[in-house]
Amino acid sequence: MANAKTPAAGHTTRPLKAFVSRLVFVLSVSVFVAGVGLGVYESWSEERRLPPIYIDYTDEIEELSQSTDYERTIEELWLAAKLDHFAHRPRHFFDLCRTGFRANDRKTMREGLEGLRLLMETGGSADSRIHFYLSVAISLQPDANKDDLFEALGYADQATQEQPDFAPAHVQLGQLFAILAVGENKQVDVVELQRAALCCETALAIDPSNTDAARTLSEIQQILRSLPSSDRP
Amino acid sequence: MKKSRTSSIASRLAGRTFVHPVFDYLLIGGGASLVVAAFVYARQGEALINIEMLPVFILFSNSAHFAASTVRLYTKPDSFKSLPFVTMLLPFVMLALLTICITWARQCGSHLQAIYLTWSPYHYAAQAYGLAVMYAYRSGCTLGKTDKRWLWWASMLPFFYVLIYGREGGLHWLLQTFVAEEGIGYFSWSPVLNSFSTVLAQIAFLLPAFAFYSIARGEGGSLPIISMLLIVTNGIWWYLLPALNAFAWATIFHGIQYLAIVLIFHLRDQMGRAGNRHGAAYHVAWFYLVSFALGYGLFQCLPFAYRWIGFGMLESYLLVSAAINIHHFIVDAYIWRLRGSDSNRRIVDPSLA
Repeated sequence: MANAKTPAAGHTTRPLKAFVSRLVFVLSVSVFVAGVGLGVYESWSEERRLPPIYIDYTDEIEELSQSTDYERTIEELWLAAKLDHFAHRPRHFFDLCRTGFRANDRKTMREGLEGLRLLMETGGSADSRIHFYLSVAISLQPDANKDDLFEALGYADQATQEQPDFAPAHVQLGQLFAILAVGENKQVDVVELQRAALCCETALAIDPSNTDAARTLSEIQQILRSLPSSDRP
Repeated sequence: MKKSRTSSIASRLAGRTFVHPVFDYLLIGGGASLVVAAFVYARQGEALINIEMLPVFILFSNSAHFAASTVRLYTKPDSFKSLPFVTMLLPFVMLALLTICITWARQCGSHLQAIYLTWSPYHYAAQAYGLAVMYAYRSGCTLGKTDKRWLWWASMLPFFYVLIYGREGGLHWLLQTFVAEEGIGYFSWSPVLNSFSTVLAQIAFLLPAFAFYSIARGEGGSLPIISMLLIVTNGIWWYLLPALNAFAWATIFHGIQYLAIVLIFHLRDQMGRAGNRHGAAYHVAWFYLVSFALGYGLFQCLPFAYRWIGFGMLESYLLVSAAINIHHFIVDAYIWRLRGSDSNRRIVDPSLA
């Protein structure tokens, strides 16, 4: 009986409930309006423009992935890989792998590569550069063996076919040809080295400012020049 | 005599539209999206428009449609009285939930995302089902319990498909959360389940045809073609467009579909109000502009407010979007009800007006 509501009690609770509901509603609307205002202010004060139609949230990550604060970078990249269900996810795993390489953090490098592999195996990527990312991620692994490099070569080749005007993919392919041509315990494979040089030349034709392509090409030419004249092309 | 019988069958199959058959079939039924899907398919996923233009389409259609449910909620006659929780308390609950998820993005953020991505195909399917039933009802087709069940299953198959095979939510998320960290491996260890996906996609197109046939054979009258179109279109959105990396078009056309129908309901309510002094163009323009402005505020401005507080743009933008989606799904579950004396009922069936 103690819990039974008397008509009088119901009469008092109802207006109170309505008042609280209205108060909460007014509060929410005020917070929202203030939030929109703050958002406009933040965008204007930082970028001198209204919030853009397309918010590129990868800018901050891109910036962060260049920093030497590896611990924070890795943490942020993991969050990005976890939350981002759009096409940028392969990029986050790729950046994880590269940051792991720079930080000499094998675990992160391996996890970045695993993330990329899973995305590709499950078809979970709309990013046309996933093969390029995979190729680089595999070749960055400290324990990559010859078979791994061949796998990376296959991905790089695929990447050049998918995006023929993407210079870094040609450089990657060239570098892999060169590494495999000058492999351990093996005679230098001149034909492969020439292929590597051709890839770098293609990359330079697409983007003359590509320093990686220029450097690799010059190293390949140096190796070719150092070969005995009978081995030279 | 024969001619008039043929035209009567044709008009029965076309159904009773809200505006004009061309308008209803292209925008609400999703006919226009099928044309775009055909173009995308013919070009094998090559972008139809400049990629930089896509956010503009999304802003004008998709963002505005999310906001439209909120605008409809607060402009619908008697909504504060009939839906006190949704109108007055839900905004606070969502703001609090969003702030909690952004603050603990690592722990909660991905779950908020997964809930939204699991719910989204259900929302699309429910919209297709609701509109299909609405057109049946308007066109004088009486659906029995079994008919409704068939239609419901036909509409829900794309949802079940995404629930099982979706990588960002559904079963995969549940497995990853409750069973094993390597939930993603579920795809590779389940070849049987994977081979079933094609069968499920085929059933999803056969079932609507079966439902149509079964209803036509019954005593309630035949289902208008637009009801079928709605269900089939939703299937194409979920089966074909993601495979062509063109799902953005599905979201754009889902937004257009929603905006078209919500505008019709808003317009009828406003025009029917005692003391209305404005014409149809005014109400349509007012509703769309308010929805557009609110959509811009929600999707474009609010993430910057969280950045101002000190959060990263990534979690601010992605989680604000997830929360808006979830709020939209909840609001939608209430504002389209046709029960009792709801004003929607009068609009769907003008004979009650």
